[in-house]
Amino acid sequence: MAHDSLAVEWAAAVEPGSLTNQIVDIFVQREGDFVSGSELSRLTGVTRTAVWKHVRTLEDLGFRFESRHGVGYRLAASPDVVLMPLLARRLTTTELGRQVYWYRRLASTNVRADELARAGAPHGTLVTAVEQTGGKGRYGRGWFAPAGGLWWSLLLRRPFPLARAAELTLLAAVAVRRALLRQADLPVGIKWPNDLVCDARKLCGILAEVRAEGETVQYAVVGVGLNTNIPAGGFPEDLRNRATSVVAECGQTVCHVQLVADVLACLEPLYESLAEGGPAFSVVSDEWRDACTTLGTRVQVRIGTRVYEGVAADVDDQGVLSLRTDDGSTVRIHSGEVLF
Amino acid sequence: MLKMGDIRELIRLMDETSLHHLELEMEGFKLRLGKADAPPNWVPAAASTPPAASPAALVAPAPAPTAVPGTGTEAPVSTAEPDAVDSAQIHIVRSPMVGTFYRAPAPDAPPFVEVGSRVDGKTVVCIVEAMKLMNEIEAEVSGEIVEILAENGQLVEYGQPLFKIRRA
Repeated sequence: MAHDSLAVEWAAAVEPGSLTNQIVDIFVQREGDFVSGSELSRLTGVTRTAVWKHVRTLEDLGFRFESRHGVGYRLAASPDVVLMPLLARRLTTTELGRQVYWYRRLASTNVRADELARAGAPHGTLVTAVEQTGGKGRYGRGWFAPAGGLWWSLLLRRPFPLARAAELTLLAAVAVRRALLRQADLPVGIKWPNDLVCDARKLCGILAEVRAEGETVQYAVVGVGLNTNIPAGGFPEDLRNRATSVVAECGQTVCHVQLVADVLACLEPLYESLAEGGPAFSVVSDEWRDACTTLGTRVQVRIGTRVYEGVAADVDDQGVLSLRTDDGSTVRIHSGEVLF
Repeated sequence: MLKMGDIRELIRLMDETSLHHLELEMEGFKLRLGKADAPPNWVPAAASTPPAASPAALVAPAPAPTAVPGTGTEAPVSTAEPDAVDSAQIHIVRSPMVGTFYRAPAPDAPPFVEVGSRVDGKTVVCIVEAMKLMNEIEAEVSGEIVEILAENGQLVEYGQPLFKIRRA
């Protein structure tokens, strides 16, 4: 059946206030009851034809509708896509995640979040993409981010001291790890400062970008790249001994919407406290240390162009790593990369 | 003109170094900072200016001659190079945190700025990274980059001078 005049466009973006969100919201509110085309048209203020096109778009996103002639549509199944109306049902936060920008494909969710921040997007805005074509690792390194993973960035815009900004990335690691363990039976470790690893292979990378004025952070974008439902064979050859995914490790798939809701629930009070000058990382630092695979082991740390070797002795409540070198001295490391 | 934040930063910076005195003079503006534990026989550190003729100032009009910090009784000043202090013509971009200094957004990308680059207040001049937190540092003033004071990939300290910008 051809619909030449009604060519269905794939949804490339679902932004706040979009018709797609409105329609999903209506169906979600009705909890599986039928909604007539004319009612949808009346509620959204667009023609029935436009509604029909959007329903088709939603089917492309994985929504399943049952249509009954003369009655309307009924939502039969929702996909695990981080869209505002779906996330809202699981959110327990007041601000984080209350604005969602969803994209089928983005160069980088961090870059998009930064653009939105400059344009005045509110605190807690979340940006997610099914796949990233230019995912960013530390210092502009590439990050493999195909469909199946969870790629998202969170905009935080309560000012706080730059001196404590690193706590944010450590907090995020704890929050993501907790959320992951709620869904997957998996030994998830933390590699200093904030990589989540399984069997020394990377499950999750977290990269924050901040905009500061003087010594005050004006806003921060926390980007989380999580290898959730990428099958083992989905990784390119050269990544297989360095990266893994939840489904590859334990066969369980992760519900993205629930995971995001859980991470935000954990993060919100800790970030509030940070912004108010209260304790943040110190609240969860014991949990961080217990999960840390770096502590107590012999590691090499690259700092700039130099490589230090020694035993990772401690991580303090600011996240600073103490390395005990062979000559008995201790190097405090704020910035560096632990090599496997 | 210095802002309150700049002064606060100077005080903190002084606190972290063995610097005891700092005098700064700009158009219609004079700032004198000193530590309570300063040795009484303090000698201006701007050794290349005649001590008798010059007011006790660490800040010579830019471009400052290379001054030798310390007079034997003082420990070397690590982060506050005497010639790397703001003046009316020269703005110093300092690292607001401890971290790794990156001149480019990615290893294969061109640097944000080079000597001679024109910048405005919002131009990103570098990234300082610590614990997977990337801080894009802005020029803060309009002008021209006249010197780059840190190496790509180098660990930089809090308050360490990174760029000299001649104000436009």
